[in-house]
Amino acid sequence: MKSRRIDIADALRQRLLSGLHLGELKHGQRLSSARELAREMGADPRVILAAYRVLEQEGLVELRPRSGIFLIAADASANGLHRRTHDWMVELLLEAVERGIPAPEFPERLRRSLETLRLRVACIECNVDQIDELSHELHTTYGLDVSGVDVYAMLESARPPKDVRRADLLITTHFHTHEVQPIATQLEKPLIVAELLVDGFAEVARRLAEGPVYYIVVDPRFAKKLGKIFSSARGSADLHVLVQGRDDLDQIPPGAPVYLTRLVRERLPDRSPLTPAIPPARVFSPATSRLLFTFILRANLHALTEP
Amino acid sequence: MARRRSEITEILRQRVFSGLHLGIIRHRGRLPSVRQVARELGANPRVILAAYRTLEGEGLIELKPRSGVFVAAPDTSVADPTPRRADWMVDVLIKGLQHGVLPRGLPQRVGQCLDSVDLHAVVLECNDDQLYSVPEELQRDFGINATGIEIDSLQAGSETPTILRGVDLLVTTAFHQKEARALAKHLGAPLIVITMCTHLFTEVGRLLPQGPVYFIVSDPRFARKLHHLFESSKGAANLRILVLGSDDLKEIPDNAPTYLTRLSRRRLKESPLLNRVLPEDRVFSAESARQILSFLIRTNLAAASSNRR
Repeated sequence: MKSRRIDIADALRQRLLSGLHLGELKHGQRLSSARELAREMGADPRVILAAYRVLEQEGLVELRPRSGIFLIAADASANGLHRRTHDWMVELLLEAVERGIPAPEFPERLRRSLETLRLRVACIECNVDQIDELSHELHTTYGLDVSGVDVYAMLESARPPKDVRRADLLITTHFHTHEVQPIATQLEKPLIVAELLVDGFAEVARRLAEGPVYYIVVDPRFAKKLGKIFSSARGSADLHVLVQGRDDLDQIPPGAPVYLTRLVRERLPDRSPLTPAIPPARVFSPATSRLLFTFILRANLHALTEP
Repeated sequence: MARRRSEITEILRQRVFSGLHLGIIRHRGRLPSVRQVARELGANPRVILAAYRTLEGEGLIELKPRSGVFVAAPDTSVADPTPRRADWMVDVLIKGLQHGVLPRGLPQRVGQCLDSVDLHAVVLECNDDQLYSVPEELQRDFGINATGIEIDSLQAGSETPTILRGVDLLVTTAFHQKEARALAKHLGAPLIVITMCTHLFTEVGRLLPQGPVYFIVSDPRFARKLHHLFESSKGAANLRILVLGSDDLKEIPDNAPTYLTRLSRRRLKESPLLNRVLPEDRVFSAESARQILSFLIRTNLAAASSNRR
């Protein structure tokens, strides 16, 4: 319950901050009510309200009784955001100083710890939807150079493709550990078996119990995989996986919960009548996120300290 | 509790480092038991054990069941510092994500909190040693330009020195806070009364009952201040304070623990003493460092957002 609240607060914060940044949202603007969001995210309204309260504490939103939830006004927002940033930065730089890194040197040290090496990662999966989703996150959040590799194409070829041979790191999900592990061992490459945030799937499972759920994908192989993932869920017959470009999307009744992969979202026309669920803020589990950062930082720090 | 634990870990870590440095303890040598340290520091033995385990994780010591606590062998104690630092930076990046800042944007975000504005501080103190070390640390660790002014030179009623006009921050120690506060009010400038990092004093206080401890200072006024600080300590008679330029440093026995202020260190330049004395590591306490950072970051954030408007 608690972690669910934090996850939702994370997702909302990211959405609000990037909305402000991109100009899609304005300071002082009214936001969706807890009830509306609850429906949209398939969560308990009380959890949504608790998440909003977290953001209120941070000075990002304002809850006005009997009136609604508002994005904080510009001036107040500067203060709220400042307070958050201030507290975070004080702790961060205090730790740096205590570790013998003078505050003025810290930004440069951090930059070098991230950017000394250009690290290449081969993202190995069985369908373009997931390869795209993982690759996008590996690139934007972790700053890695990513090549997507189709696991079956890799297994069929006589020797691993160049993208795999040149990679500093291999990444796959547990579905393909047994196929990728031998290749990682043979090439002596580190392998991270990524755990994905299961929230998205858990949400779909919850909503299946209430009625039909639509899931739109690009790759028919991912459609099949989704069918398998949800085969044991209650109401699995209510899961309709549609392949973009093959299946008729007009059959989706208005107001039905719709999930889209990132690739579909990108290809969807701007004025699509669909109202998709909120995409998750992040793809990898906290444990995987930690593994990725550890790999990146150790590689860079090692390169920096090598004579 | 968590804070207490990290403080105790830091105290024990410093003891091992300075003990090794001074030759008081040896690699593979036995350290005081969990129970002994708990009694000495007035802490729960479980907290001490946790602190020792942290140091064990750092490769600094070894806990041998049914046998005791030992300083690690030299080759493991100089273990590669990379993993520890990497682990800390991982936490930093994860925290960043929670604040909606991607790793690549983080250096710039931190930089914005530090150098959006040039700050000038004046340090008010009564002796050359601290008038050197405090501004130096403000500059080095926090990037704040700082000048030291002898507080006694500021006569009541006389004209304010130019350097004090438009100063962003005044810094002093508890000894002079009364005068400094009056001046801060007069100038309309914020004042931070710093406390000193106590690791050094705790360590000296612990060593004094065991034998002579030497301090090399540059200003006789700082010598008096130090005597004053330790006058109620057990073994206070063992405190030997030598003033550079007037006392003979040759009287320091080869294996006596010896401390050197930063100014003395700079003035000594070349001396065999430099190889075995303990540097005055950090001047400010964590609490003071926090206050300074808070001031620094608040001022920078305000400047950064008014620049944007």
